[in-house]
Amino acid sequence: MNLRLLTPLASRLSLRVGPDRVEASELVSSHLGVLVREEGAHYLEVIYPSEPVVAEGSAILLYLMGWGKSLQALNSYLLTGIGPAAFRGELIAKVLSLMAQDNAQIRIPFNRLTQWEFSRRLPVRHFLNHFISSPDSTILFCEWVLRQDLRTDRGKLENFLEGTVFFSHFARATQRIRIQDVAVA
Amino acid sequence: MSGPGNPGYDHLIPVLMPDAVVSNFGPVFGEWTADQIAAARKSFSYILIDSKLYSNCPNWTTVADALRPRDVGKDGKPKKETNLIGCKPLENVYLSVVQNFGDPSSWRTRVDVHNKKPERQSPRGTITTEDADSLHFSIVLNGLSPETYACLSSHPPVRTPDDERLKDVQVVREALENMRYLSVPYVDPEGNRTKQPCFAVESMSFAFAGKEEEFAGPEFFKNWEKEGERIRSLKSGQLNEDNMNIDNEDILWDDEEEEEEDTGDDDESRMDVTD
Repeated sequence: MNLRLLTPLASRLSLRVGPDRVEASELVSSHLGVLVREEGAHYLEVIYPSEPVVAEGSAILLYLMGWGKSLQALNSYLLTGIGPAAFRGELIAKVLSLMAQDNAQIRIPFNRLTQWEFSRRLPVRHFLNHFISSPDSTILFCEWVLRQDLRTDRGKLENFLEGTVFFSHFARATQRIRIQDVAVA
Repeated sequence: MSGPGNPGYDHLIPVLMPDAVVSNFGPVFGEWTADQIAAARKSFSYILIDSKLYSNCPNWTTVADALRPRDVGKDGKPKKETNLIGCKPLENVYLSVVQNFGDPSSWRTRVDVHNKKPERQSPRGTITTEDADSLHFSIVLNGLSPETYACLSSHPPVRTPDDERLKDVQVVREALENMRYLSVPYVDPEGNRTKQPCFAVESMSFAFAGKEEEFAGPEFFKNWEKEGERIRSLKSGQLNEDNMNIDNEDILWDDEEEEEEDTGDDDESRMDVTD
């Protein structure tokens, strides 16, 4: 049961499961992971590639059943992890970003025939407003930012906030990121 | 995107600028020309995210200022601090987000905007005036609560009656709090296979690499076995945070001298490795 609850999160958070675990074999047999190399019984290399279609399906599942149970399942799996000096800060950051993304997406009307609800471009302003709380409760975060006395070029900052983000899941980069990788992503 | 090969940040979220000209981009697969890279640089910005769980840095302005893209050196080769190849010269405003999930005593406010004029020279590289003043926009987020994150006050937006929705929000908050303070034993004293590690952590994998002494030197394995014996000697149910701490006086690590000399930013460097 826990594994079923974990699956929607695993595909979106780019979780890496140790190759000698039964969960890894389940993921490979379910086509969510790919065994790319094995050297006898000593070395197995499993990769978890970026899957936008799976991420969209996972986002719909999380939308329908809520994040709570899946996060509890993730916690129980983390308890079997190999130490507190792990990567929990990164995990929490990813969870928060995706929650904000989902939260923002469902508030924008969409066409079921031509669009995927959780895989659409989203204005940066809209994303940040759902990600970060405004210190002034009467206005949204981006409005609050624009009222601050910033050294940042105001025109360019507004242009940035009018830009769009596009992400439904995280993917792991295995090498130094280039600007063209950002564009292709 | 996230990855261990990009020092300085944990995650990068691409931002497509409103006046982007996508037709000038290069192919999905294959090399890009200089013009195509310049077009991408003009059309894209990014949100850089760095999360801190253990750090108790007294000055978050420094951390926020240091969170920035760094290109290759003048010779065209990646430097140690290079984390985004081809990003210079910067064309657009970019956002740096530092998430501090750690020590509450270092918080001033829940949400803080930092883009004050930085020092000319930072520990991680030179900062130009143009870069720092007009194109860098950084935020420090402290804590893990609805006062900091808007998504925790209204999420998840499930299609259920309001009481269930509120209940799920509470479960989400508790789960994230548990994740933040999670303490995991390194070994299972009962030898229960189902409790063995599930998630791979690259920075720790060397500890389970085997007993090839040439891997890290004989001293390393002598210390490691000593620590293993100590942990195995603990009885079931007695593992707690106190006795999981490694006693540095008993174990002589190879780089002990270096660590003693470099105590100034020890918390910072440990943070980068483990988190």
